Amino acid sequence: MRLGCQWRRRLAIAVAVAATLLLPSTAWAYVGPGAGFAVLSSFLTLLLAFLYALLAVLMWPVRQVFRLFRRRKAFGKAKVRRVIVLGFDGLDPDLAARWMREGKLPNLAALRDAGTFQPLATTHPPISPVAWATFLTGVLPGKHNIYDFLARDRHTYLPFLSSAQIGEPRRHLRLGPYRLPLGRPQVRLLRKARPFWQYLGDAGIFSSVIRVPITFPPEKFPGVLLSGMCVPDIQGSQGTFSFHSTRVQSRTAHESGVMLPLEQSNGHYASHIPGPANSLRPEERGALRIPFQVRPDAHRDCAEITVDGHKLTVKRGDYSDWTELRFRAGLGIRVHGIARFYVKEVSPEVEVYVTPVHIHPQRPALPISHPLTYSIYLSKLLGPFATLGLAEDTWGLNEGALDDEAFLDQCLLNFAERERMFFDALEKTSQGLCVCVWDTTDRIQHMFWRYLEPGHPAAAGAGRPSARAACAVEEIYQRVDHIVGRVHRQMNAGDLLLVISDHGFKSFARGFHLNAWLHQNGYLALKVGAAESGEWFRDVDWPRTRAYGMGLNGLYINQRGRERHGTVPSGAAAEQLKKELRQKLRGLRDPHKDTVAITEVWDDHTAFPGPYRENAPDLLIGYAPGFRASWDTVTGKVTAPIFEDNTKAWSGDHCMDARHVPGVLFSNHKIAAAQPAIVDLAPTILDQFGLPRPAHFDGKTWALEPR
Amino acid sequence: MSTLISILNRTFDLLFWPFQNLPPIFAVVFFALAAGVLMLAAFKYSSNQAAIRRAKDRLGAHLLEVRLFQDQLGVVLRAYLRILRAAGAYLACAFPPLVVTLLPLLLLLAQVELRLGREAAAPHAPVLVKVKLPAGADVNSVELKLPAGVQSTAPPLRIPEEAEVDWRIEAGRPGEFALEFSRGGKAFSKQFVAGGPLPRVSPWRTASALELLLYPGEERLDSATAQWVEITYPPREVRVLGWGMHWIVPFFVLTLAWGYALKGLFGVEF
Repeated sequence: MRLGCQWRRRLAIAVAVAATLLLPSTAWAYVGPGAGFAVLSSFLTLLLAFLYALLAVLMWPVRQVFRLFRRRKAFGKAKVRRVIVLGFDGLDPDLAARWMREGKLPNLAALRDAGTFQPLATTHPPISPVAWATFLTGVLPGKHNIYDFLARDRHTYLPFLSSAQIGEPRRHLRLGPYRLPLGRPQVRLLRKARPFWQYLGDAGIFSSVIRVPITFPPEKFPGVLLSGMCVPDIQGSQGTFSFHSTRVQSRTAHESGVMLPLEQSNGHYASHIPGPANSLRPEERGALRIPFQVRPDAHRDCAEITVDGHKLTVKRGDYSDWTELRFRAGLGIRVHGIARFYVKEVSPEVEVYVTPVHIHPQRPALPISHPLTYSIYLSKLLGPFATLGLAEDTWGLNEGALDDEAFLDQCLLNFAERERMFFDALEKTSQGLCVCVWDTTDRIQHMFWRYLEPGHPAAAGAGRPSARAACAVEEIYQRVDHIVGRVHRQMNAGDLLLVISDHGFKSFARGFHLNAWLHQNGYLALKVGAAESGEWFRDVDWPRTRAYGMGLNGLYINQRGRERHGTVPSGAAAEQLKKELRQKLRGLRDPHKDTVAITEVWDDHTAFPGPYRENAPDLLIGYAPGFRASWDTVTGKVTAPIFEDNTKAWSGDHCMDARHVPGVLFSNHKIAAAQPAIVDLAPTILDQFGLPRPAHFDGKTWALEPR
Repeated sequence: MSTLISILNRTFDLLFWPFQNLPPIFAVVFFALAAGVLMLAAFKYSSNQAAIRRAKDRLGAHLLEVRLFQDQLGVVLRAYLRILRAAGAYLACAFPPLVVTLLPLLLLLAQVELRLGREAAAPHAPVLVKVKLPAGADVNSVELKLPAGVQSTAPPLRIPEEAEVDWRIEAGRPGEFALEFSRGGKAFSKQFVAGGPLPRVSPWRTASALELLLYPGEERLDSATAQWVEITYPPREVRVLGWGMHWIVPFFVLTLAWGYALKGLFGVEF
């Protein structure tokens, strides 16, 4: 019976095809419009492809002659054909060693046995943007100018993103209530020093660079690059989620997110997704927004979400696919973004979480790749993907908008996207450099460390974790191992594989309120009547303040002639104060735990040699494992206690004494180097391609022995 | 079939009525819009829009691949193969709406051809009338009786080898006439149009059912009497920016233009 149906169906198709083909020749003109839609598009594509092909073939000898003429024959002295760098942010050598011992990471263990496994010394401070900037430039922070995620404005004492500055277009045209931009937004890279793949490019060696931090805005070079950490979301922030709930009565702003009420009307619930400020109508208050409706279906345990022309059905506990959102600024101008919807609850209350709105990779509002078409290519080939620098929404979990499972799902979705991108890049890079960084390893360890460590204050009162959450860190290490295995199977003779991380991980159980300590020890003064200060030193009395803490490890002297309200003369007085602070802070103990909280304090002269030392913190605090700058210190608050339990889900960290948190180095080659460091990678890779080490590089070149 | 053709003829007579005194390009623009909308609707309801989007994205991606990795011949060559595969997938996605719209479009275009394909004969300008008889028929058995206002300008030419008889006639005044033929006691006729602004001009009356779809101006002939009757009207040219061309050219371009212009409104991908 079924066979009969199939035959009938096949016969019908055959008749349709035959009827189309056998109609009189004049009929072909008649089917023109229908066929035209399809044929024209594919014909144009094929024509374009042919022209490209012709151009490529014609230009090939010209390029070769050009290379020979400039005596830059690529790979002439190269020891390898291809270098593959797999960067896993925060992969810890102790955990890797433990799980290799237990047989849970067979591919990494095989790499260790056949080649190399060593700790990889990280930077001071051991923070991702600093360490990755060192990786890609081959220099220490004093030469690349990145000391933290944030830097401080000496005039206002306010923070700004240390790696990139986004400004408005230079010129505008006034048209009634509209202010039309004439040109693109000004995006300036604040990182100094050239990435090592530019040296490779100069020598005619192609590179594929995927999501290496501190590559936004992307720089030109002969290769392809997708920017990573520090790419903003559509609002220009480092990630602002929105959470919509019938439990919320009015809009409340949270750290890196906003809670909005879901209002009931006509059988559905309505809210809106906040977007960027409308730069076309600056006088108009409020940001652009996209309304959306939610129809919960308790029976089917899902919700139907209608947003910007899309109708999505999302099961409770699931994420939607990436959904295109168009914020309409006026005059037909739209800002394109993408977001995922997560349905947290459908009954009795309704709760929907929306990820930060990422820059649309296919219609980027800001440059996120080099060439610009690379993100478009990836998006067309693999579908939309997360473009936000810090794509895993740790604040969503910290603030309770997401639970462990939802956060983990989000992480793994991003991890899988990166995997697809990387393997496409690997296929395209048969010679040259292929480097990709996965951030998910870092985020999962930050958020799930509490389940690795019995008695962690962040796990107390949180209830019993799910089996998945309890094993989340181990699972992500196993996924890393799986990728390493896949890469290994695709490698050719003459390939060098390096698996690295920028730092390791340790517990973050206790927060140190540096500004509270400075206040209580007479270095930082509050305005009369104030016992504490709000964010960004709101109640600090600058003319009476000598030192302040900002960021994750930084301590600054309020120096006269440098800071706006500087009080400490530069030179001997400032040096004396630094010495005094070092002495007091080094070896500082947590009275509650009776352990050393700060193992070392570095002076900027020793920590940051280089031309940009003036932008560095004057002192760098090296915390002991288990300790870190408190959340309030990072945001410039001054509070009463000096030590405090860290009860946030963000329970593991690495912003401590760099000696406690080295990264990992695996390779398929034997590496003969004592104490290899992340700063050595750039000169070593250049050396493998037969290129000289630039004189300004801080790292040393390793000797490698192929297996 | 003849009922459907008759209804279509009357419907299109009505639709063409507003364009009677306008340059033909106006009718072309209007019917191109109709065809564009028809195609959009067909794409919307009979195609797999997600698959079309995927196929187009893949095409675009592999094109960009050629540009991005132009120094790597292996990658470029693989990209070409993938372009071909993606183009094939895309055409396959476009096939169902093509099949769905084939018949309606054929009927629409045949109606437009009836009105815009040929000029009516000018008064006093001779035209040829050709009658094709069944194979082996006696060419002397067929006679033409001209209506008042139409005269023959030459004796009939009878070609036994091809079973064809040709007449040369002209109209003395504008109007629509019926040319009456008789053969072996059976009669059949053919419409003949002279002058007029935008008349329905049928150049071909046929005994073939398939050809009736393409030439729906008159009813089907009895195949026992004649295979077809043709009048060699002069072809009509539609003027676009001063250039004369067959109406199908601007129609094709305009249909695509309408399609692209309205696809956002319809929410259709093609």
